[in-house]
Amino acid sequence: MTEFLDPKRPSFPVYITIGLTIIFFSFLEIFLRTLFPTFLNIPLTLMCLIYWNMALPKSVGLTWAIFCGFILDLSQNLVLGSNVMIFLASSYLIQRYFHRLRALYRIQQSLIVASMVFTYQLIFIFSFLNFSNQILIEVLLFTFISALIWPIIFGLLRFIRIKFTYIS
Amino acid sequence: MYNKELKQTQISKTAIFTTGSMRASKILPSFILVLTIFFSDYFFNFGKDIRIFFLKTSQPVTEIPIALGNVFDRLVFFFSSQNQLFIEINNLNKEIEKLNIEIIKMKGIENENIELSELMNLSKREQFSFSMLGEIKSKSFFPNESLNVTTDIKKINNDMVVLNRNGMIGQIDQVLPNSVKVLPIYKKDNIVPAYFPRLGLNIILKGTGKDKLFSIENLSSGVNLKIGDEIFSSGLGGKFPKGYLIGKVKRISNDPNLKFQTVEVQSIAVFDNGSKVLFISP
Repeated sequence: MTEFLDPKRPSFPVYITIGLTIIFFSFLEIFLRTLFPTFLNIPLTLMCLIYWNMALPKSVGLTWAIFCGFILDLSQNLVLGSNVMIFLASSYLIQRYFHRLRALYRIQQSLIVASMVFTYQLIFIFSFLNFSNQILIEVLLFTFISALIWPIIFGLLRFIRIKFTYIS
Repeated sequence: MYNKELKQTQISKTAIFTTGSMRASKILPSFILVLTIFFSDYFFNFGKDIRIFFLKTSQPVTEIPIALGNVFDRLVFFFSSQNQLFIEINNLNKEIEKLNIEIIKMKGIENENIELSELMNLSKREQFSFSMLGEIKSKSFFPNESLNVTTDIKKINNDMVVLNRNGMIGQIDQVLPNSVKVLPIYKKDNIVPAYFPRLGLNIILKGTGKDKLFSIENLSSGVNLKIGDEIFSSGLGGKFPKGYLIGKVKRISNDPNLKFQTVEVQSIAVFDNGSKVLFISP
């Protein structure tokens, strides 16, 4: 519970750190989407949101979820609000049960993240009514990759949180 | 390690019954707002302009991966066996191009040889009093057609006639220091003695200087000519060799009230053909 013990950096508020990382992950997601033009991709923004909602639920709020959801909607040329609703629901669930999620081992967290990514991708497939063998392989593949990279994202964002937010 | 895991387990035990301060009532206003936006956009497409603006502004970001992808493809291609093949194909293509140029050169030489041989045979067959080969250096085209031919000018005189593989084409106009200027046989006001084999009639052809045409001088209107009649050189006067096809009748204007008829003859001389000519004295 470093957030209560360590003094915060006054020049670099937590809220900005969260925002910058979420925006960075959004752009990274757009970048990867353009680089690998598959129907689905790894939802890095969602995973970043999951981390912040789990780590600092009081600081993250819902604004960033809404903002990044809209950015992704616009970049993917989707109906405005498609990603936002999923992000809001995810934020709600994570903020509601963050105590339990934090207590889990990393591998258990990876499984939770993978199930959320899986649901997120299924919602897209159902909303587009786009079913094919290739897309089903993409769902499984990106879910698996998301589970694999969750510890990396977790470690990276944790490092950023500690390094830039608190005076050690 | 053991202690750490034990601590984790203890935290889990207490956390399992704990929930965060987030309640559904907190998220509901945001959710309703987003739903409103969603349905408004879905039914009225009001986000169209925003979308276009966003796509325009984010274009540089979306173009970077494409550029990177291209660079990557080029790098992969460069180090792949496909690239080696590509280079090999390019080299082979260059060789083929070289060989094609060689073939064209050889064909040119072959044509020259054939031309030369034809001219030599012509020279032997006709037994001219004098003949000499020349090589065309440059050509001028209609309306001031002429050839510049290099040859041994010491043996050349102004009265000589010029032949190529197709027949009689012209005569010497000027002997220059290193070459000879040749004008076509149908040049303006050039006189060529000729005859009609069909009628056994000797005539005089006069060059008009227009589009390889001759006119027949003083031909009586009583002479029955036909379009396409062939006209050969008669050899009269000793300047032009005898028996060479000069041209064919192209147009006849026969006015019964006039004493002479006007006849146009199309020359068959191909003035700019080949690269070698034969200077002869009949």
